[in-house]
Amino acid sequence: MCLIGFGWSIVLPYIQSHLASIDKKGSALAAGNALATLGGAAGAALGANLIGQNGNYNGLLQVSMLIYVFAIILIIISIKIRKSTNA
Amino acid sequence: MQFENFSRFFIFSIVGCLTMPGILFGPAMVGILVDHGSFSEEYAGWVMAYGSFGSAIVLLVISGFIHRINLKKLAYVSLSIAVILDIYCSYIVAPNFYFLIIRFIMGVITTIANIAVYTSIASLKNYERGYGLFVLMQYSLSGIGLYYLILYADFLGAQGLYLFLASLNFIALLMIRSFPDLKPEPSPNRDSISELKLLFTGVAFLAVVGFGIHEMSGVAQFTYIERIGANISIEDQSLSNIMLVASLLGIPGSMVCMVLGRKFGLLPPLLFGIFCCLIGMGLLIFTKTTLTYPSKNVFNWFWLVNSSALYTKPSC
Repeated sequence: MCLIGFGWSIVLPYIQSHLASIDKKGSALAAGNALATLGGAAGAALGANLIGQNGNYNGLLQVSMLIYVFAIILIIISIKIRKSTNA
Repeated sequence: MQFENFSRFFIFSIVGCLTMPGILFGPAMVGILVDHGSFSEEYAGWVMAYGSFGSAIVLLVISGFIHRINLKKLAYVSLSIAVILDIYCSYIVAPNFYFLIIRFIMGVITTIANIAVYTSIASLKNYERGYGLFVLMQYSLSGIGLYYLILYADFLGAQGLYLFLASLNFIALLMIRSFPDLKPEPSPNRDSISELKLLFTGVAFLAVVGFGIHEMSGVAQFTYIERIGANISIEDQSLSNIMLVASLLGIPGSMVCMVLGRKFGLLPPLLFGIFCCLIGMGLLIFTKTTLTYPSKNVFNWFWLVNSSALYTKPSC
């Protein structure tokens, strides 16, 4: 939990600054925040669904970790593309 | 801690925090509505959810034509309406659909001011430090706000809660004048690129979707983190200690971004944060296995050595 809390607060502002660097006027930031809000709602629903099915907390952690890895891959690819187009 | 544009980032961050009370003070607001507003827990949850729906919808809509609007002027208007609506809410607070609709509208209008904060931070050159400060302020004000709202819940009541929120919006309204006047016209090199086209470029699309999925993962875990702890037989006191320490660690975490900025580029600190999260998640998954016991013991030993003056043994 401590590692997650620490790591999360590092990752979040850097994702936001990447979104801001895509469009200084904030369209990517606004869309990103919109999807983050919707993602949050979907996450709560996913958790409720997984726990409701069989009360398997390990399953919930594994699924959310996989989702996290997928999200991070998308963000890293985005950063790489931006870097290569700016270079 | 001082860096270029610090005072401006500080004011933007304050306004940003004041316009997202549902996120920062959500648990305390739900508690007050249940204990003092005759709301069921489910209905109080819906009050928060309607605010979030309003927020998500306006963000989606506004992202399509953000270049063409003056967010500073719009923030003045929206926060003025928000003050009036929150005062109105204090008089009509009751578990009915009409109240939910008003909270939906509140979600829409306060988010307009909130997105003005994000774009104002982005308009300054060392914006990554600004976002670091913003996240730091969110953790700090959330902690202070939750503490005092819970402490004074009986004194405030449901009516007092919305008067309190109205006063937060009023303070934010007074601070809007310090926002930069961002011209609504697009810059010359953007003439031919509409916002929608921009959002569907590979870079933006992947980042936006990635951010959404990132939050999905976080909330899925965070919603049930207390239950997960209870499930692996961590006692209540230790659990609340872990939650407190984990949330307090968000402050030095966001300071990493403030202090470093882009000194090491974007990717290395981001990967470091990701690495911390993945290790943490991995340890949570393997909590019941033998892998965690040595890790816990090493951590306990490390903690004891470093905090021997405090005579405290860690519970996590």
